[in-house]
Amino acid sequence: MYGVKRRVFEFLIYRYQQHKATRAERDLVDRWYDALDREDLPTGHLDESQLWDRIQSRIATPSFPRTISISNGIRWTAAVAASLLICAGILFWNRDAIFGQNEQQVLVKPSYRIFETGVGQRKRVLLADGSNVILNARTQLKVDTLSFGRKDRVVELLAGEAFFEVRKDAAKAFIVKTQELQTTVLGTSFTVKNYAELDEISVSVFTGRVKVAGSSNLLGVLKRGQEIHYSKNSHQNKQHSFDLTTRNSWTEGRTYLRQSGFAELALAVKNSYGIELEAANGRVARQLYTMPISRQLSWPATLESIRQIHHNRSRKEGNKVIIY
Amino acid sequence: MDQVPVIYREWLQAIKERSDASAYAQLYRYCWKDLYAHAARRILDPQDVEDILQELFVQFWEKRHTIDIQMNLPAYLKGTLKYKIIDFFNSNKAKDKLLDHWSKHVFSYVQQHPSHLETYLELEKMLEEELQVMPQNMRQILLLKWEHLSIREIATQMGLSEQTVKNNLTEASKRLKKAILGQQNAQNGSFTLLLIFALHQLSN
Repeated sequence: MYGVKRRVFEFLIYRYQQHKATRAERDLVDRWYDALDREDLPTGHLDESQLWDRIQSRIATPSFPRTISISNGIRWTAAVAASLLICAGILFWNRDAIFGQNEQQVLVKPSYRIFETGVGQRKRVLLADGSNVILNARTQLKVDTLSFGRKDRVVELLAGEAFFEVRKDAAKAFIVKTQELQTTVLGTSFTVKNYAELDEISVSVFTGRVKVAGSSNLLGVLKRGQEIHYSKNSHQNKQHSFDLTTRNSWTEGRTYLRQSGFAELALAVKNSYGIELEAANGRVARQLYTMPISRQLSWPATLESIRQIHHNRSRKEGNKVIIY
Repeated sequence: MDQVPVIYREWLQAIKERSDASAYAQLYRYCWKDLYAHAARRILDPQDVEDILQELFVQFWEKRHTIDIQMNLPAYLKGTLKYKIIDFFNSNKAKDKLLDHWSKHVFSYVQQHPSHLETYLELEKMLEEELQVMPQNMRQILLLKWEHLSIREIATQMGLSEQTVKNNLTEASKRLKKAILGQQNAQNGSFTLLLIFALHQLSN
């Protein structure tokens, strides 16, 4: 007889397959399923030509000659590669991660395109090179659609926060420009954060190696679990390690504050609810917060938790909420 | 929809209108590796992975006259593959080892993602409660069904008629459905619990 975990798994998958799952269950299965992309590829090898031979042998159509050989495909591989080059760079997909809509084509009129999110929104952008970008709330990512991928793959984070999963291409560096910082990688994943409300720009690395440079000098080469904070005012930078498990929870609509200052709290609140949070005095501004901020929770409930942590009170002034 | 990559549309058009095998070979060559990696990460067993990919490409060819040449080809193939993989998990072809592996994986996944944890725990609780109150025969039949036994096999094993097994399964699924609907209505009140749990996790 199965254990409980196995029963729940099978029940969940069964409901999903039969279109009987609730929205939350479907969401769980979809997210979990997508997360498996980060699993290691099992050892063992599948031969491209062998598989193709077997597929061909099962396709019983006179027009499907058995003689097509994949092994002398070098010539047409080049031809395919050439034609792909032509269409690469004009095509970007824009997936709405929140509502789970299907891929949707985006018409590209100008030579660049700005992907943008508002309060409480997240968006997934698939770039022409196969790299994946997830945008946090109130973020703008600019991509030059004509030059992208010609030489290097350059994008510009104009505002906000984005997680980049970069498709490996040793010949073409992937570069994220953020005000005076420039982050250069070949194939890896990392998050860049630059909100106007915060003094610091940060780059956090999840896999691979990432090179971060200022306007004139190299600031550092970061590895997995390392993060750089660059102050826009003082132009100083610091390196830290960070928590890999919660740093990107915003991609699922949650922000974990961990001994975070008031500015970080106010930012998370603004991103989630569009509400301006203000500290009435220096005492409140210096208090630290450890809590999750999630849009799934109503604003009154979140505000209540915020107040309780330091036994503060709050009052509303227009769109602002003052904590005192 | 003018921005569909020219190359996909050319392949799809050649395949749809002229049954062009060389275009299909190019499409295969272009797509197979990503699809392979996607399936291998989820199915693990090399033979099962190959079977699924064969199915995918053979069926795509068989349906070529009805395809939409404007479609987003990689997304379409990946979507189709996903349903094949979900079907595989639900079939009796999936091995115990694989299902056990993913069962544990989902469990640890929801622990790292508290917003899903609630859904999972609700489902688990509901499932256990419903199983508890089911008549013993019904429970047994349902559990065997989840172990991918056929109606006939269950009937033989339990010494019941096939019709009785079917009736029991219908009734069992009605009960579970009802329980789930009830759970959905109650769900709105439980976010506070989630927060308490998340805070508790953070403070450890």
